[in-house]
Amino acid sequence: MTVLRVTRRRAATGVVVLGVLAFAVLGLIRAAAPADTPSMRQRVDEVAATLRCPTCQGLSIEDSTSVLAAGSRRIIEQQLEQGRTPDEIRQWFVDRYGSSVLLSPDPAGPGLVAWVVPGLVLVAGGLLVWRWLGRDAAPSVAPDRTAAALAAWRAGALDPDDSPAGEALREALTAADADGDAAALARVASAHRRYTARPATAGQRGSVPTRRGPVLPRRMVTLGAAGAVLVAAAAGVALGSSDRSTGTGPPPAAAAVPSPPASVPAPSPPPGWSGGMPQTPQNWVQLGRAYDAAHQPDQAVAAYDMALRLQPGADAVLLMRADVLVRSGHADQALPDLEQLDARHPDTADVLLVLGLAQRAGGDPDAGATLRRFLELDPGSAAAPGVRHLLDGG
Amino acid sequence: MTAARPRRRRRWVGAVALVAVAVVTAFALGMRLGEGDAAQPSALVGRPAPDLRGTTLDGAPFDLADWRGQVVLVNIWGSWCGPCREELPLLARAYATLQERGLHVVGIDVRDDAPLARTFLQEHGNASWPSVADPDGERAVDWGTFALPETYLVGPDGRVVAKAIGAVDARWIDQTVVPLLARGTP
Repeated sequence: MTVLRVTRRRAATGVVVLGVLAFAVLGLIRAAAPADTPSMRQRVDEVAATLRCPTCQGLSIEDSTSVLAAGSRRIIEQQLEQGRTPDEIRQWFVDRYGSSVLLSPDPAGPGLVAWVVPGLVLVAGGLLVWRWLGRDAAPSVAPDRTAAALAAWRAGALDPDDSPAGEALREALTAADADGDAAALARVASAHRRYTARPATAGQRGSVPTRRGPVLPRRMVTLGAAGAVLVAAAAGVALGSSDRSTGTGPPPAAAAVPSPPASVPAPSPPPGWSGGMPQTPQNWVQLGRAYDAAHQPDQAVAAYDMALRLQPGADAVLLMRADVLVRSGHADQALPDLEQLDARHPDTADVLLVLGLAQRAGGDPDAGATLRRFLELDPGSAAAPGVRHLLDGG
Repeated sequence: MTAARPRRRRRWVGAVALVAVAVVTAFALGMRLGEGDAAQPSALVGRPAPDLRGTTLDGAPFDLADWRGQVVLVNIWGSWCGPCREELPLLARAYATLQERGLHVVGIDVRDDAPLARTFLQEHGNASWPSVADPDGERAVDWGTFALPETYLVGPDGRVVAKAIGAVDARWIDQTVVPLLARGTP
């Protein structure tokens, strides 16, 4: 009967462990599988995430918004367009920055240690725990030791010390002495195990010589390990799906943005703003619009700068920033960005409008031609009547 | 007693193995760290210099290959960079003194505004050498730049001889650049 119960329990445990393993392996496969037809931006992100940002050690090029990270992204993009593989691109960076530019150590050479040691430690640790748990596995040991401990207690040879484990053992022995049922004996076994496993003290007396057993019950360790694997697998699956869902949007022009290299102080929200401090580029853009509407152009530009730092290459944001600068009388600051936007997005009405206005503010003779191009491209625009008025000498 | 001895020996073997792994790991990591800034400032040192072609701040075309056979300092800078401001007068003096002995200097102006950069060059030492505009920082990355300013010394054979991280000082010029000019070849 007991044998049958044990066999059933083992089978159930085996099924659970197999299930957890299958789930974990599926999660890993899912996480490792390439996304469907990744966009250029995703491909650049993938390579950039494996390279250390040159100017800010510890961050990847993907995460960094520093001066040279944007240049690095451009180079990755150009090389991908030329058909070079991610490994060739990484080698290109290693040739210039040394192997420390790789965020994952190179498996060739000394970097191999970093790959091998964690695995070895894991295997060695697992073997140690396995052996340690296996020590108490023989079912005949526990009753013998319990009986020996009880006999020693009765004979006065076992005198537990005043540690919490000693107190617990004394209580268990007293109870078992009075009422020697199976539950009381089991309590003695477990209390004695904890007592012998407690940190050694100078005055440790009268313990029955016995081999150390596990401090934690084996089932708890097994269930804990299975739980940890399950949580890790679930996290892997969840992260894998979220990566895919965020990566399917329209790819913005993956171009470097000439944002100010000096760090921009984060603006605080305007009065009446109820969105809290923004955390995402989209929120910073909203905040920038709110400032723009509140006629606070400096704060609006600062908010757009924060959005651009989080998402370099967002040309739409760059255009909004330039627009605010032009309208607030700082067309000269907006011109370099606008010229680059015009080069990247030729014959785009919105870019031409803001560029033309900036050129006009700076007295550039090209302003007229730029604004006329805007009118040709978008004659029905809400801004068209005003622009015609300007061109007619208004 | 007989059972205790092998166990004790096994424990010793385990301890020795652990120490050996720790020593090997520390050595390997030490080697990796040693590859960093101090010992080897650039992976490019000793290798052919990267291409440097583009338009200068004055709008003229530039190609580093045209200076093959000369000793060239490639200075990576930006008008927004504080240490570049401190470095420029010394670099200008060194250029004025060593120009006759064949020293050439070219700048890579990173993510800068051309009019601001030109004003900066005039105000801080009246630097007369060309500077190639690098609006996106790609050229700086091509040269393996970590932070501005950095200066690379390119020998007559077109190979990178040395790299200075941060503002160059008179000692670096005297000890690294001048001997190359005197020898003529690296």
